[in-house]
Amino acid sequence: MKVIAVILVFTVIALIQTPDLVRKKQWRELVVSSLLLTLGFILSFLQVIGIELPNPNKGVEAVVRFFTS
Amino acid sequence: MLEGGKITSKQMILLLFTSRMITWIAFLFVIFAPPGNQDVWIDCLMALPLQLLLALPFYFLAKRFDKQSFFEYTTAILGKPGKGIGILYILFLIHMSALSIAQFSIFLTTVLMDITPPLFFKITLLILSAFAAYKGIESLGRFTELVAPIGMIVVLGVVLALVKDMDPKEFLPFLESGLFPSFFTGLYIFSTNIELIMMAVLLPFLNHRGKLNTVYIGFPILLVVFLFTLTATVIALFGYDLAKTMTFPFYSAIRTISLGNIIERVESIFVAAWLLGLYVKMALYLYVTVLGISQIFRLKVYRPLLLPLVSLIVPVSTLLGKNIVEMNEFTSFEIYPWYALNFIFIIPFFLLLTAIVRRKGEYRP
Repeated sequence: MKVIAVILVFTVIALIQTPDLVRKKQWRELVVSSLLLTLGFILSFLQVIGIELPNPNKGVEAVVRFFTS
Repeated sequence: MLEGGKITSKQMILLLFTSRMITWIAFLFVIFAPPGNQDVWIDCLMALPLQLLLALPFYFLAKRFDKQSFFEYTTAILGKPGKGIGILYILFLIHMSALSIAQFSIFLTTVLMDITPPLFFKITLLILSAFAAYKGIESLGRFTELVAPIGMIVVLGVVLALVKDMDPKEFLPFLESGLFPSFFTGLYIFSTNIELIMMAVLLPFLNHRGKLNTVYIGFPILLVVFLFTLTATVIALFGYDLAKTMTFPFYSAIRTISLGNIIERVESIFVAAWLLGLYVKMALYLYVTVLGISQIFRLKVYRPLLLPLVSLIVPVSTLLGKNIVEMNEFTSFEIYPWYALNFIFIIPFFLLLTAIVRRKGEYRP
């Protein structure tokens, strides 16, 4: 159910964004926005199907502790 | 031309101020920082000279490149590798937006609506903020001019309503552990001030170039005065030992308001004003991030990037905000300054050095 909802939301965003950019031939904009959208989709999808992703804060904390202690 | 709008210096000060203040009103992290006694209000005053001194790289860079924003002059100074620096800043901004939105949803679900799923708050607020960012910097500036005074009046009203319960004796003994720990916490307060990056990005939109000094000095003064008011209120009301056990000290202070048993439970009004400010904050973050992306990749429009950016920030913020203890550990004085200072002091400092050595831009006093 959640998986379908995520796919639906991202499809709607893509449908809102893409036609306008294609019509105006703004290819660079299209590439950047689809890149962001793909990253967002991958992250949401992995979380929805229950894969534990690492917390970015933990990474920063590890690096800082390595340098300060 | 990406953005043709202009804002006045007053709008810009209020925009940056609101954006920073909102986080501090909810989470008063200064309370937990060293020296760890009733002297924490001195730290807030200490932040002013430190901020004026350490933000100088941004000031001189803005003087050298007065028509360009931060993301444009990194490329002008370093050439192609400048884009790498820009992308680093974009990732930092996305991280910070996700952190702010996670803090916001944790605050709301903890104090007011504990059954509503946090995802609901995140998505609704971010979509509304994306709409504000869609309208451009001018309408954002005007909207802030309307909203910021409301927030200030609410905070000052709360402080005035609490004056009768305050006890000045809580500030004694004075300077118990000397001035040095306060210096460190001043540095911590400065490092939370990532609005300096926003300032560097927005400065080309200032209508009078000569007002740069007003923004540079006015913003920290306003900020320090308000932060000092918040901290002094909390400490005079609860005393340090009680205050440091609270997660949301200022919110707890508001809950104690009682004027003649008639005016009570005013915290809903406060949360309403707080939400208005948060809306401005998220709109500013989204705006600066998409503007940065468009300037790095030389796009002609920034508006189509807003919704994809929101769709990226929401999952990242769910990753960050699993529980409040982990998040407070990250934003504590042990971790956060060493992360954020790289972006608001060290990289700009080396950029300035490089610009001077390679004679890029011209200095106009």
